[in-house]
Amino acid sequence: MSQVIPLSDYKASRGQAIASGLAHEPDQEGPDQARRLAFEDSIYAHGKTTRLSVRVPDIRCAACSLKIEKQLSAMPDVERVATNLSDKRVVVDFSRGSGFGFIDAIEKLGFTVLPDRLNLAQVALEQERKSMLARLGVAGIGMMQVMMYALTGYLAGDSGIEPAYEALMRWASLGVATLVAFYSATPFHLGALRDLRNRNLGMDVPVSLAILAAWTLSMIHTLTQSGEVYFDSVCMFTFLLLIGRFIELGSREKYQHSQNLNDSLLPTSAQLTSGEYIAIRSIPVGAELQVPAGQRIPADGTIISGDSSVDEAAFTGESVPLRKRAGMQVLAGSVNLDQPLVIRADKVWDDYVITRISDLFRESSLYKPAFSVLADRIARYFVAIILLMASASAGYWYLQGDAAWFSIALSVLVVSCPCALSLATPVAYTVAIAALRNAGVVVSNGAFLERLNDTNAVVFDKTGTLTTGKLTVSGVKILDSAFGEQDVLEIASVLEQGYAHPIARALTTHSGRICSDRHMEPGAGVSGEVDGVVFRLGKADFVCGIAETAPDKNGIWIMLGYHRPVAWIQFADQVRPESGTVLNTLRKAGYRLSMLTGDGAHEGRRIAADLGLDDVTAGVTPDQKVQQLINRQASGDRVLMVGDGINDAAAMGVAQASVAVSPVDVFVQQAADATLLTDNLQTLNTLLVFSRKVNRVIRQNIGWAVAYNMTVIPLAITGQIVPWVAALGMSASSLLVVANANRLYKVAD
Amino acid sequence: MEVIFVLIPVSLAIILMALWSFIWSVRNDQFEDLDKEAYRILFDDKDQDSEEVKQEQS
Repeated sequence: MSQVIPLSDYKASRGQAIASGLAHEPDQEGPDQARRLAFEDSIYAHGKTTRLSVRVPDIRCAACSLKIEKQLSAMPDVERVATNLSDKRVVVDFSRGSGFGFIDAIEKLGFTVLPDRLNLAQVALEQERKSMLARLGVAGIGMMQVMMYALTGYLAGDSGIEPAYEALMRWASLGVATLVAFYSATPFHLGALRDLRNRNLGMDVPVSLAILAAWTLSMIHTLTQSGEVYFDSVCMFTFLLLIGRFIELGSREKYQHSQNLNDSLLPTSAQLTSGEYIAIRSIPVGAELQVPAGQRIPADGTIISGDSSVDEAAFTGESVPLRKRAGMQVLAGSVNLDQPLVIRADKVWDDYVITRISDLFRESSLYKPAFSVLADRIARYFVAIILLMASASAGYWYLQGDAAWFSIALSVLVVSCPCALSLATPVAYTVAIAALRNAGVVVSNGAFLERLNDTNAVVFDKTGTLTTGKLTVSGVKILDSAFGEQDVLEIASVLEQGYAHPIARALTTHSGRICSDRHMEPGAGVSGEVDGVVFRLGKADFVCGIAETAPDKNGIWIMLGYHRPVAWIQFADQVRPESGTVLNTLRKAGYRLSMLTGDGAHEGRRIAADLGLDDVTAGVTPDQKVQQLINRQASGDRVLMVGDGINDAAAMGVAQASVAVSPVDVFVQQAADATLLTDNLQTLNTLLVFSRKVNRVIRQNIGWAVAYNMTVIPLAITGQIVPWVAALGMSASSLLVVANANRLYKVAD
Repeated sequence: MEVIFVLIPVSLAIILMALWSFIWSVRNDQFEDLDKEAYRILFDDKDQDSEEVKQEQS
């Protein structure tokens, strides 16, 4: 990799670092000890076999996972191989050996292997998913079978079937429905119990009540051989609601907040100056560590020897690396770019700045404003009303001396079954989340769409959010008038052709020129012969042997020359082309806009002025960002935080809603409520417009469901309604709700 | 039609077997990664392929 000048586009290097498994690169050639330390927790006994569990972040498709599976299955002593595409995990059970052979085999296929720590939250969630799937399956199979039994009665129509057969069908249905009502529907009953214990009438209460009431009433009617049975409704209702729960659980599983920031950013081991490797968590204060060029710094400490540039963008948001020499401080998790360094650890793992950011994020989530979903707010009153009505009608008929008072009360509960109401929100979420995924937005939680609609202020991060986060050529200053601007860019581009460095990527002027005899001087620049002249591109002292100062402090300046200077070329992080339009649209829609940046005031104001933003706070640290958001929310704003980096993650935890713009870190993706995968800020607008549409649909659904129930209940109380009509109406209203939600399938109108 | 008194219990027994096998397969990770299985058919074993080709040619 060319290091023409000590800088790196942080985003690019960070992405590559993670993708190429920088964390354990030294392990590949280094002694086995480092490798053992790294995978210590990933190999453990599992029953009679040993299990190796690793993460392979570059599994992108089914083909990759099948390739790995096939390769590993063919190896000796393998009992079982399982790959999982969604959480990018490979598990191998084997009977003999150390397990490192499998890691080598996966790496040989061209994949990155990262250690996978046994994570209790993950295990618990997997268990929950499995039990939910079993419940869903039981409800589905049960629903089909009960429908078969019920169909005989429906087909017979008014005349009915012979009482003996009918009783048989009812008993059979009772058996299956009991399984569904008490095994499959357990999550609803438990939720309802929890709600009641907290003196709260949540959505689970009417659901659980409806299932239990319908089942009880049907069972009584089966025993007494009278009235109607609703076993088919019990099963179908449970099944439909479980689908919603299952999907919700699935999205939670993928974006759970279990990832530790340190695990994703820090190497697993570090090398002491003695050559020994040491696990990252047990580095003592005073330990002297080697940090090769291109590696992440493993500890907060002081440089003892070496002269390099260090990328601290994770902490500052600054895209330009800092020069660090002996005696200067470095932070764990930043990237050493050019030259090897020797550092002395000054703190223990728990006190590293990056550990503190990680903790800050965890704490910040507690500040998230309380928010109850619309359906829950309505359910609270609705449930209370239903319960009042049911008990009132029971009391009335009891006083009237009607023996069927209990049965009538139950009928009211069944007829008022809030199927449509409880489906109204989850169905809309489910369709909306699927639609957004197709449009390039990953939403981790459906309630985010309701919260988003409620926001009135947007706080942006600068680098990587309002700007592209990539360097581009922003100016050329000619020093030798024999050359034009075009010549300079053409020569520079051909000199840098083929290098992966951010500066090389910024130089994209095509020409017919050819460069020969190209040399790269690490940390200084590149030289090569173009049109018969040996040009040099890089630091001023490399190009012409004297230290000249750059024209100004904006961006990064590098020099082109041949023994004498020809031109300065300026590189800067550019504002996204769509940022202006997006901000204008938001301003017109009445949002209060502001920008928080870790960058210096000068650069921050320049970009804010470009975009017409007034409210800018520059030079903020991650915890100041959190404080800023808490202050804004305390003054009544409901804030949407839009960011992309680790330094925004904690603030995202506090904000009412948060969106990450094509982040490279998994951690940021997990911290944010939604992630834009499109790398286009315009999607944010689409998302806001769509959230309004989602809320409209949810309101319509709830409105319809409540209206339907409120019309039917009085009829049921007075005994005006034939049960099968009520059942038909119930299904029809549920279908209407589902159909209405399906209108959300297209994100853009 | 009295046979229905036998057939309905039989159907219940079949249902129980279906439920048992479903729960068994969930517990044994058969549903762990549903995306992958759809593609498995597209990735036939290479060696087998070439042998089949050879057989076809001969």
